[in-house]
Amino acid sequence: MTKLVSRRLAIGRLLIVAVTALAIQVPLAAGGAHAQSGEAEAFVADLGDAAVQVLENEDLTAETAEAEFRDLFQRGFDIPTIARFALGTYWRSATDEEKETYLSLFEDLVIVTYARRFEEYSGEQLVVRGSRPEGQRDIMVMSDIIRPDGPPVAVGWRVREQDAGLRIIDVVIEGVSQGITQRDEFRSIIQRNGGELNALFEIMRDNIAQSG
Amino acid sequence: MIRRLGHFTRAAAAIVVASTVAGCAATGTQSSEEVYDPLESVNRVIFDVNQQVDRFVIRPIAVTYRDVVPETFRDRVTDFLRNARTPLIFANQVLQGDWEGAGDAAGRFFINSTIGIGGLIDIANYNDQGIPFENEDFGQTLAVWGVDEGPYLVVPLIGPSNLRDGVGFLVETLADPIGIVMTEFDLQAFNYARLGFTIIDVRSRTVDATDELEASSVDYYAAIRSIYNRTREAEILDGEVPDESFEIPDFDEDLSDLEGFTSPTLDLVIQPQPQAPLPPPAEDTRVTELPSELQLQLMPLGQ
Repeated sequence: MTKLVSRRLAIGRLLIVAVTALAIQVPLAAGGAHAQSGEAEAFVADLGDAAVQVLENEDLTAETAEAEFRDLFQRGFDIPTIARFALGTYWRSATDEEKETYLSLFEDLVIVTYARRFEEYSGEQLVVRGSRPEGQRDIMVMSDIIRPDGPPVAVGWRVREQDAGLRIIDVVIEGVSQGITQRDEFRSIIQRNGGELNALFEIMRDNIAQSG
Repeated sequence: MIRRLGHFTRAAAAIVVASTVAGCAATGTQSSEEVYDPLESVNRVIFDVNQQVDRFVIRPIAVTYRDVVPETFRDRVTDFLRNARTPLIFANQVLQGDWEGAGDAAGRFFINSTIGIGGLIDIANYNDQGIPFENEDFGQTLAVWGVDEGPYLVVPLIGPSNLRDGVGFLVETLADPIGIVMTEFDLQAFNYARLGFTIIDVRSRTVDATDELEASSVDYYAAIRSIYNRTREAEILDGEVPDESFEIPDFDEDLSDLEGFTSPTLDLVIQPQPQAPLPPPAEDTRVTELPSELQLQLMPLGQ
C-alpha cells in the first residue's frame, strides 16, 4: 500500500517535473526562432579568420585562392535572400526569366565587389564584439574591422539560421545597411526607366564588366 | 555682405529664416521608405558638378593632407574645429530641450577651451574616457521640433542635404557664436580658415568610405541620397541605430518551381551573360553613365 502511494507520488513528481520542464521549454522554444547568438558570433569570427588566412597566404595560386573564396561565399552568404531583398517590391512582379537573369547578375556583382575589396587587402583584421537579436529571427553580430592605417570600421553581420546552416543575409557598415542602400539604388534605376528591369540589368552588366 | 551685418541682425535673420521654414515645411508628407526627391534632375546635375570639384580640388587636397600631415596634428585640427563648434551644439541642445546634452556640451567647451589649450586637445574625452563629442545642428533641432525634411537637395559645393537641413545650415552660418565673435573682432580670416579646414578635415576622414561606396554602387547618386537620409535620421534620434527594424523575407519559394533554376554559379571570371536576347537598351542615356567621381562629403560641415 505505502509502496503504491510512494510510487504514485514518484510518478506525480515526475509529471510535475515534466510539466515544469515543458512550461520552461515552450518560451525557450519560442525565443529559439532566433539563431543562437554564441553560434552566430563564432560563425562570423570563423569566416573572418578563414578569409584572412586565404588573404595572407602568399603561397596560394590565384586559382586556389579563388576556389577558396567561392567556398567561403557559399558557406557564408545567402545570396538569393540578399538579392531578393535588394529588388524590393519589383521582385513580386518580375517574370521567372527576369528573376533568373537578375539572380545570376546579382551574384556576379557581389563577387566582383568582394574580389575588389580583397585585392585592396592590407592587413585588416576582423574582431567580433558581440551580438544582439535583430528582427524576428536573426542575430546581428557586431564586429570591428581593425585597419592598419586608420580608425576601425564598425561592421554588423546579420545572420540567419537557414536549412543549410547559418548564413549572412545583410552587412551593416557604420550603421548603414548594404541591403537597403542597394535596394534604394536599384529602385532609383528601375523607376527612372519606367519600371523596366532590363535597364537595371544593363547597368549591372556594365558594372560587372568594369570591375571584373 | 554677411560680414557687415551686426551680430544682432544676423541672429534676427537666423530666427526669421528658421521660423519661416518651421512654419511651411511641416506640411510635407514623405514616406520614410523613399526619399522625397522632386528636383532629382536638377540635383543630379549639381551632384555631377560637385563630383568634378571634389575630384580635381577637394579630394586631392584632403588626401595629401591625410597622407602628409602626421595623425597627431590632424587630431588637433579635428579637436579644435569640434570645440569651435561646441557653443553652437550647446545652443541646439538647449533648443531641443536636451539638458543632459547641453550640460555635456558646456562642460566639454569649458574643459577643452582651458585645459585643452583653446580646444586643441579633447581633454574632456581623453583616451575615449569622459564626455564623448556629440554633434547637433540646427537641421536636427528643426527635426526635433517636428519639421519634415522637405525635398532632397544637392547644394552646390556643400553636397547632399534637404530643405530642412539646408535651412539649418544657413541659420548656423548666421548664428554661430564663434563666427560672430571673430567677425566683431575683425578676424574674418579666422572664419575662412576655419571653413577651409573643416572641409579638408571632414573630407580626409571620409575618403575611404566614399571611394568604397562609389566603387561598389550601381547608382552613386541614389546610394548617397539613401545613406544621407538614413544617417540623418540616426543623428536626429541621437545615436539610435539606423536601419534597425526591418525584416528581410526569405528567398521565396515561388522560385523553386522555376524550371531549370539552380543556385547561381559562383564565377570570379565573369562570362558574358548567356541569357535570352535583350531588348534594346533604355533610351535614357544618363542612366548608363555611372557617376564616376566622388561626392564632396557625406555629412554636413562640422561633423
